[in-house]
Amino acid sequence: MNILVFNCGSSSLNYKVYYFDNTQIHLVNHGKAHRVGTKGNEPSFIEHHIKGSDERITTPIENHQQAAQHILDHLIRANQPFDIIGHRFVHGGDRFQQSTILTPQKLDALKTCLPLAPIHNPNSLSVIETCQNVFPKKPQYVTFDTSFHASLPESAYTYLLPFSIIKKYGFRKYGFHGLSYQYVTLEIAKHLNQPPEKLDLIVCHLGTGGASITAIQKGKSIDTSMGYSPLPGLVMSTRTGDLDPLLPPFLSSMFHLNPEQLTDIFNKKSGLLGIAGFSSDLRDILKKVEEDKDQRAVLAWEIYVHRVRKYIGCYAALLNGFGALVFTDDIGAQNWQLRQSVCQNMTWCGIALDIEKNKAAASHQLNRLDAPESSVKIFSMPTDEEKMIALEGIKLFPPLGDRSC
Amino acid sequence: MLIFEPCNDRVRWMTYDGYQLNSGEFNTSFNEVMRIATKLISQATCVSYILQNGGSLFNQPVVPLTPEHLENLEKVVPYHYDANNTTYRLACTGLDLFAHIPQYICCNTAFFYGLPPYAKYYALPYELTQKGINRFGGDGLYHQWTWEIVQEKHPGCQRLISINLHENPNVAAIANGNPVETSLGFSCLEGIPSATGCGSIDPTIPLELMRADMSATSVEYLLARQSGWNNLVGTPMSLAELLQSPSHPQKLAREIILNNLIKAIGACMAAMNGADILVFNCVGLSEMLPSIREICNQFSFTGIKTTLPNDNASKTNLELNAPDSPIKIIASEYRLAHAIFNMCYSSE
Repeated sequence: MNILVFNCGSSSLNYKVYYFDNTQIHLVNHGKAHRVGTKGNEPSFIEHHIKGSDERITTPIENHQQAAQHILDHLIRANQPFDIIGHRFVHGGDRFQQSTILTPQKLDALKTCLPLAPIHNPNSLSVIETCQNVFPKKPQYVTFDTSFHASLPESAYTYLLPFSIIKKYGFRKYGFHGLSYQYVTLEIAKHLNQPPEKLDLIVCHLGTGGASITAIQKGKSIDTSMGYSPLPGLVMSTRTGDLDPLLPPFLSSMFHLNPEQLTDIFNKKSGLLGIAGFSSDLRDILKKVEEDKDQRAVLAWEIYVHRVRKYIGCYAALLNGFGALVFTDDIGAQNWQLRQSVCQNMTWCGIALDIEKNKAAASHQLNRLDAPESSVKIFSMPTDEEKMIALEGIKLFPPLGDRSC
Repeated sequence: MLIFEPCNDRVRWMTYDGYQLNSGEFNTSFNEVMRIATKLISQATCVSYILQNGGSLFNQPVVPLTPEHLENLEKVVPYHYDANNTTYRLACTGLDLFAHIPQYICCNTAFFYGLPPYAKYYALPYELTQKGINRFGGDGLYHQWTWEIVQEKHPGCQRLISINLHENPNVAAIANGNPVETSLGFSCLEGIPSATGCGSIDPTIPLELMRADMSATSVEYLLARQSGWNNLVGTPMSLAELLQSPSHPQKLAREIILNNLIKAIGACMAAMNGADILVFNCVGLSEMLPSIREICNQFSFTGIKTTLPNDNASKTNLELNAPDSPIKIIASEYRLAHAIFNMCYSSE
């Protein structure tokens, strides 16, 4: 069975094709559309790695629907077969607690979840619809980023709001990037040759669009920086992260802004873009900091770093110490400057980074980065949400011989 | 000294002469303000008005009340509508009524005016941060006072975490006398939940409530007055009472508050690469001791070690750390009137 997996980031679209030989899965093809819809210095492009040949196509990509169309056209031209298509959907609210096969009813239910994650959910939906248009007969399924955080204790997911309001709207902390946290936990366990149940980790999932951080105790999520929606927590490319809850009503009264305008400001015009002004990409901002110490770029960089450090402090305390700190996803795995800034002056909680190892770390593999005096192990590694999505697909569509029910 | 402390739709008054404290509450109607003010006038040798949020216009903790400061008071009313409006109205009345004695505006955000930019600014569009939509913090008078008191006894302390345990619990990190982090934000709502305030929640939630046709004012009221641990417990309760409650639903509320305190202290440590001293300023010190020890034990990974205070220790100021603990732990009674009294007189 061949599985095509789409993974929608807020400014990227990853795809991978896996072949499942009834015992193991093998990655056969993959690629990624970069800088989808971003305002930056560099143009959008798609990389394809198909059947041993690498290709990079620079082309304007205004949205995820265009990115998906490009990728499907490319797969058709390359004669790449696939049987099922899997997607990552950021927020399933209360209606979706686990992966599900897509039916017309489920699709309607997904549409009601769009406002829960206004940056991601509409993008994922547009990819799903593009696939339906091009391949109306292929079965599709959806996985959710909220599943890994089902283990959050009541004290972590409860907001101290009136009970009637909580009940009416379903307000609670859900948490996101679950597929990534699940993958990272399994990989670190494998690397340390320990069962996941023995691991106390702080994992920083720092993507080019979204970013979050999770405290993992005995292999399970006990707190995470995102909430009911993917807006709170760390500073992101265009999202504010944490804000005083009084600010939405205050700004609405003060500047006569309606909830739609505020949602747009907090989700699409804030974060790194809001502070720095010229780009939403941390790499552009770092370049500007290094080149000419641009004041707003420096501020954006410092706020971003400070927020990550703050959360590491919160979770170190909540865990009463921890075994390993992990940096993952694009920024986490690639940006040594960020890891160095985050780990500076953090000896109080046992963090001591090996500066040379950190600089030399290759972004495509797992790297051990702690200095000998560090009581905390430090890792950088790529994440692989697509592999987790493919594994979920195999559970939903077991091989024919196995279809006992 | 007569002190007015506005809080929601009430005002607390305190008279304090350095030894004896009297206090009471009144509502903010004009008649009531006049009645109380006239009653207390004979006892007062000076008056302090606590300003809960001074925005960007008050960066000194204590300033004399003058007509020009009154003008600024009016400008910052929107930053904490109920409380600031009360302070403004009290000050207007007081300027005439108490013209014969010294009067001060004591601003609870002034201390945090000096927060480093990376802690002060939200990741909002730059224009909004320039318009003063920043983290102002709160309870600054008491945090600053705590730093000064600790310096008298422990002059070597460079990194202090000041933890105020009352109906609006909050935490501040102070390095060499300067604020570097606080759990409070633009208002006193951010951070650790309070008796009636929701604490840090996903900002999407107020937006969704407003989208569901609630007015901005009613959303503010809901988050600041109808939420918090009182709502979960079902009855008004002091923090000391809550921390002593072992059963559900108090237990859940207690766990939420403790976890939030632990996280806020951890965030302060991250801002200073640890701490030299933790000071817990408590309304109800003896009732809170077990919880303070519980909080500190959560930091055993930093080497912190707690101990039981000995029996003949002072009842208002206790050292709770073991002799070999790298971080000192002090627990003392939260005495706002005492702090304000001393800060006003030392400002002369």
